[in-house]
Amino acid sequence: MRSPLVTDPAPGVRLTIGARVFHVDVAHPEDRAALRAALSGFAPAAAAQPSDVICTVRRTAGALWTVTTSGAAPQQAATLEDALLAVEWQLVTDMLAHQTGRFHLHGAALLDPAGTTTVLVLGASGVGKTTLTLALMAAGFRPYADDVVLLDADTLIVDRFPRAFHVDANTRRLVSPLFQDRRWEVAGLPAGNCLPLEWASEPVPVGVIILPKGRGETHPRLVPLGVADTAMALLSCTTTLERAPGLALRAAARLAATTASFALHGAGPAADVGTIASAVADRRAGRTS
Amino acid sequence: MLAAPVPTPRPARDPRVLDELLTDGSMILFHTASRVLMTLNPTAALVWDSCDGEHDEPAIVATLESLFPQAGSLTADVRAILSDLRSRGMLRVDAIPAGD
Repeated sequence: MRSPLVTDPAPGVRLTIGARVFHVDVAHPEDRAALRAALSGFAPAAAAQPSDVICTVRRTAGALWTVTTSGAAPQQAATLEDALLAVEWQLVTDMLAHQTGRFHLHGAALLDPAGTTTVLVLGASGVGKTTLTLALMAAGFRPYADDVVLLDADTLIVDRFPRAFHVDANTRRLVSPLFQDRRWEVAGLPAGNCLPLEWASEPVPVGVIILPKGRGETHPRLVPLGVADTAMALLSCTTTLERAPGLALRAAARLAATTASFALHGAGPAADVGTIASAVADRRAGRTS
Repeated sequence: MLAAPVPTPRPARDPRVLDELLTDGSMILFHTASRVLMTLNPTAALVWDSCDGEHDEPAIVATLESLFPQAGSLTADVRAILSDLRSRGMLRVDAIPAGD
């Protein structure tokens, strides 16, 4: 239910994420510009829409930033980048807590260059999802979402969720050569943020699921997963199991039944992308179930 | 005088457990209170389906042996599956009906 907040404080950034309207009250102009850029993938909220959540960002003594969201305990950050991450984390966490009818997955979703197959890249933090996602983008895949993937629980179609990727310097060094001289991201974002220029929004069913298992192979290996292993992997990557377990079980079972799923033992971004592209082509040609 | 018959356990599913059958006959169980998640292979899924509080272990064994007549005795398998389900809290602990 929407909170009865009619008057928003000014100045700030107002935006809609999912079905929630957020007002982020940022006092310092430099901080406001950085936040506006980092959240520029999301739609601005209409002036008439009351805010569900108000978040404030303030510079405090000792070169710290304090982020406070609708009564929650304040968070302190040592850098502007960390403060922006804290704001974004709080907004997305609130949005996820108020989602209904959506199956959440921790990972990325991309549409293949032919526009026929949606690919999910799933797994725990640190297994190389973002690196692989960026490498797939360099090969012509377009993202629906990174980090937070939301699927309609009835159709299992992925929502477009144009949140900035969080990309550290090492990942950027690794994937930048793959794009060659192509311009592929919005310029001028705060450090650590990366907003792709192109996103997918076509309602194309998920056909392939990739679970990266780290790199270190001479040649990438895709190991097919059975239905039960796929379902368990999906359920280990979702917060929906906590909030709506029945929906999560049904969605995981249906996705496991209708996709080709693989554990990826990687060899490096470029080689891994070639292997995944082959798997997608096989799927398209009906060579995998 | 004859001793009173010892009640035979009739395993019953904990009503707080959600189950979801998968297309290969396996099954996922999720206990909504303990948050325990587990998979059952197709045979264990049949055992789970039989845990209705009406059938005791020999009856469950008989049901499975009728479905897989060439498998031989399934007593040990069923016992192991029930033990696993119990140890993970998926079965009701009070599922021993008194006096019948």
